[in-house]
Amino acid sequence: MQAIAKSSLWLNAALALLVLALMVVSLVVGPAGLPVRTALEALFNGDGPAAIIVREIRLPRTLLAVLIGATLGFSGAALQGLFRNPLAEPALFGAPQAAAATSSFAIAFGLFSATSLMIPVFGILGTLVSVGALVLIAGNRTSLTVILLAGLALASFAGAMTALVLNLAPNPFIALEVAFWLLGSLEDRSRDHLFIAAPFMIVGWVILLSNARAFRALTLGEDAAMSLGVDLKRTRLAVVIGTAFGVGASVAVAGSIGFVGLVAPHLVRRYVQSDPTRVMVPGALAGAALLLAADVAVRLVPSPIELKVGVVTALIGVPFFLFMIFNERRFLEGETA
Amino acid sequence: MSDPLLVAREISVRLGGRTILDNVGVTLAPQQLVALVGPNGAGKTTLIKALAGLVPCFGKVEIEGRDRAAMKARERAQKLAYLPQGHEFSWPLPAAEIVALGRYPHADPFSRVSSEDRQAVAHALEVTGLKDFGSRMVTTLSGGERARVALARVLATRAKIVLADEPTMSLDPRHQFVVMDLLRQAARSGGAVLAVVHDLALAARYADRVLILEKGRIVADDRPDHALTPERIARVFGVEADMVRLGDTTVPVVSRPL
Repeated sequence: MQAIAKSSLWLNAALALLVLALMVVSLVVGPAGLPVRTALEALFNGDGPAAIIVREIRLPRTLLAVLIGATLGFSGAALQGLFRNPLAEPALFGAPQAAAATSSFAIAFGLFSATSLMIPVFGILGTLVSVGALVLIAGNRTSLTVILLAGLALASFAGAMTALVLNLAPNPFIALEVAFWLLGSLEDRSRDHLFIAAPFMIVGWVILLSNARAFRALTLGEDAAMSLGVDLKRTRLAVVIGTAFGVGASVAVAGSIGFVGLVAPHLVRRYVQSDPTRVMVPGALAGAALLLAADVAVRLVPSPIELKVGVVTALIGVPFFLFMIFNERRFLEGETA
Repeated sequence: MSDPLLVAREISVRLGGRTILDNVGVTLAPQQLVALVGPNGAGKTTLIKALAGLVPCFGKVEIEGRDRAAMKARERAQKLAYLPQGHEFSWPLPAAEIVALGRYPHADPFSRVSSEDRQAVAHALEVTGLKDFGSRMVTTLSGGERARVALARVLATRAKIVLADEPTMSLDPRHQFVVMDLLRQAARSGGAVLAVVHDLALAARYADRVLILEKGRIVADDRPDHALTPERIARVFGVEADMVRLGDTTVPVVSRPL
């Protein structure tokens, strides 16, 4: 018991340092080409153009990457723990799709630009409606199959709504704007985006973390977990709501960013001996590090149009995930690594 | 005789319009290992789950003299432990971590590990012969070892009442004895154990009492030699049984289907 607790403390410390280092990198990298020293000094004092670039553009972007990456990591780890399945991820029950659908509707018809503050509000509302519907459909019969099937239906419906918005967009430029926004990006997000999304994400973290202890008990199966005193209905509801808050807010400010929620917990799972409870915090830190790294990468790749970070996470994520499955196959199947 | 640890009265379970359990009564006294036997589909698993509070049922269950419905889940979990069928684990955790889950109902809000927790886990690993297996991943263990890990988890709770659903399922003969010995030990140290057993000879050898369930009703609740008679075995299970003397007990050995 102690051995794992100690090793996960070291793991968390190492990952936190990595996140901090990547944050610094994210603050000093950008098209303005500020010298490293100028950029770091501008973070704390001065009000020249350097200070504006670092504090108003790069800092919100960096903090959003950390918050969103951590949210995706937490949500992925929590859903994997709840469903006792390493393939579970937020998109499973439609939260990101619903946020994407309502946000793209707002962009296409609500006369807001893709970087307006009304977009996150719409996205979070969309997620809440979708989660509300999920809870209503699943109701008291909170069996896993019902939740998964209802989630699948809602996700498909949200996908269809997004397609409908693109289909009916008043003009092709708006359709293009929506399509680009959907790809997922942290570019040009302001401090206000940070302030509107952060509370939802942090509430989501608190909800997920306060239910994390049940995940380890769920290793024994749902009946045995309930016999140990786990309130399974409450845990399921809490995980669904916590994920909806966090992921809904993330998608709403940054579009859809795939694979981080699925991959991040797997990166660290073996270092916590597959413990579904202890994987939460390192999973979130790994998610933050992944998204920061991807967001730095899109700024470093020379390209006339900045690459969207959602595209990069998907492009790098898929082969990486396959590689990991291949490498860890024996471990995932439970044999000695 | 001292007060019973668990009393269940008029337990009925209906699922999808079908009656699975019909007015079943169960009393578990301390020091007793009770075997629950019956053909497939008789409702044994449902009865165990109903007693553990895992399926909704009509009737009343009292744990140590108190209404179960008035207990918090955590309190119930400290007094009553449930061992499900199958001994499967979703994640490849080390065996000691699985066993430590038995302490879940005792954990304080800050999840600190108390010395009692540590002692209970060490003791459970010791009596199940798993001392050297603590750091092994459960998924790498054999069926018999996994069954012992699952049982050790239940013992680590130190609950007075243990409800075990087919604890000897798919175990080799030696491990069946090992598991039954451990359950008997748990009963002898002041607990009450109700275990679903399919092997009638094993039930007769180990149990202090045998409950026979047939189509959702209790048809016998007695000493093994009174409950498991060749006539009743023929009627309930549809098999012929020879009574064989083993030391100072007589056990039924099933010889052919009727």
